[in-house]
Amino acid sequence: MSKGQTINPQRLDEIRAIQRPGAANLLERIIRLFEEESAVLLLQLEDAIERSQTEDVRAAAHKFKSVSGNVGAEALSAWCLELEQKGREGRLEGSNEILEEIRNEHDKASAALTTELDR
Amino acid sequence: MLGLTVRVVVGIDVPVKAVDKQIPTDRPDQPRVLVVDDDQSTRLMVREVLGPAGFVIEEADGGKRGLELIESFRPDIVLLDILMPEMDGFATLRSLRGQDHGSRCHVVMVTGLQDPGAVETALELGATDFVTKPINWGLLRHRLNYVLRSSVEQQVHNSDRPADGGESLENALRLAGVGTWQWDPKTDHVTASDRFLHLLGLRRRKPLTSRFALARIHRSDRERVRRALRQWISGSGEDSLEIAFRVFARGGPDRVVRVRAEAIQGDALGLAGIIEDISEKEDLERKFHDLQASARRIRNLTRDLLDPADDDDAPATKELHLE
Repeated sequence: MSKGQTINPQRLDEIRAIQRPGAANLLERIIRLFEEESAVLLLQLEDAIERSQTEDVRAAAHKFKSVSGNVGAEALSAWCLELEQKGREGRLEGSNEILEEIRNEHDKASAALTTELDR
Repeated sequence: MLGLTVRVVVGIDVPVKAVDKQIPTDRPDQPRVLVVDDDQSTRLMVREVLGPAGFVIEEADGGKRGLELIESFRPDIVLLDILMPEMDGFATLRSLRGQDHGSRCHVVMVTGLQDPGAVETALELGATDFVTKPINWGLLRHRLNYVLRSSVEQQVHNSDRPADGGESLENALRLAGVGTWQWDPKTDHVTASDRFLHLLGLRRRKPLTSRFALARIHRSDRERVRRALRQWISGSGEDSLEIAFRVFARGGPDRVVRVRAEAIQGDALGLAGIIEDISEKEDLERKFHDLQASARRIRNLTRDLLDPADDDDAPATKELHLE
């Protein structure tokens, strides 16, 4: 079930448009940050779901949503929103399935972003 | 529209020597933005977007750190994320509005599109405006510039200098005895310069509401002012508002002040304008009218004296002889 684009190229173009001549590659920095932050957030989500800590699920999913939104990972961001809502409602049924979708989309997004960097 | 008001004020001849020395002259003209967000990539992007656009940026990775920086960094705008671990945006905003500089600066909340309730809460807590995540980087600086422009007080702080390279508009306003103010009908929050407070005989309080300001107006004028404001809110009045009224003075004669304001369109409709003391002007005008009347009388009497043939006004002639 797709929830949108793996990577919305427009979002990356926005970042490229901000690039200042001579400055460090902004898109690359943003993608590296995404890789670092998302790896930690995935672990936090897994841990929070396992411990059934709804508030932690909500907080980690919210941040994951925001971090993935920054690189245009729309499908990933949408799944994170779904999980965030589960956490907010305090009902974690089905959250493992959503987590699985998040993992899949995260893999796809990471691969697409790596390709972007090689462009 | 606000530009009109400002142009009028700039036109006032400002004696440079008399400028209030208390105003720091080394204040940077660049707007200062404090970005409070636990997401590092968002902070990085804000810096990259706003830095080259002429903003000075400081970062805080959470509400607590943000609050620590308010008084030292003195931002014009705080870009505040709502959902953060430990201290969220609401708690930060509440705390910030209790601080000295924090009570005056703009706060633009950063929120997800999915949460309109959060926006409402933030505005109730005194936020100036909001942007939604993911942030539109191309528009961010325009949005923040708009926030700065839409406030007369900020317009004063970031003013263009007069063409003669003289003192800032703020000094000109101060010297002209003109106060500035802004009113948000939605929160009933009044942002006011010291001069505004002085003219209304108010002490700085947080937050200042229109009720406190209206209470300083002379009883017989108060209803008229209230009615004008109500009319303005309901949209039945003009875009701009101009009204003069008397103000209770503490231990002195009542002042007459004039308020001029125009609509500002942020997220909610607001009113921003100036206030000036016109007691002396009114006094002068009265004296001028008295003088005019005297001059007319003297002119008549002189004419009578020079051309007595036309004189059919004996009492006036008598009066002249008496003088």
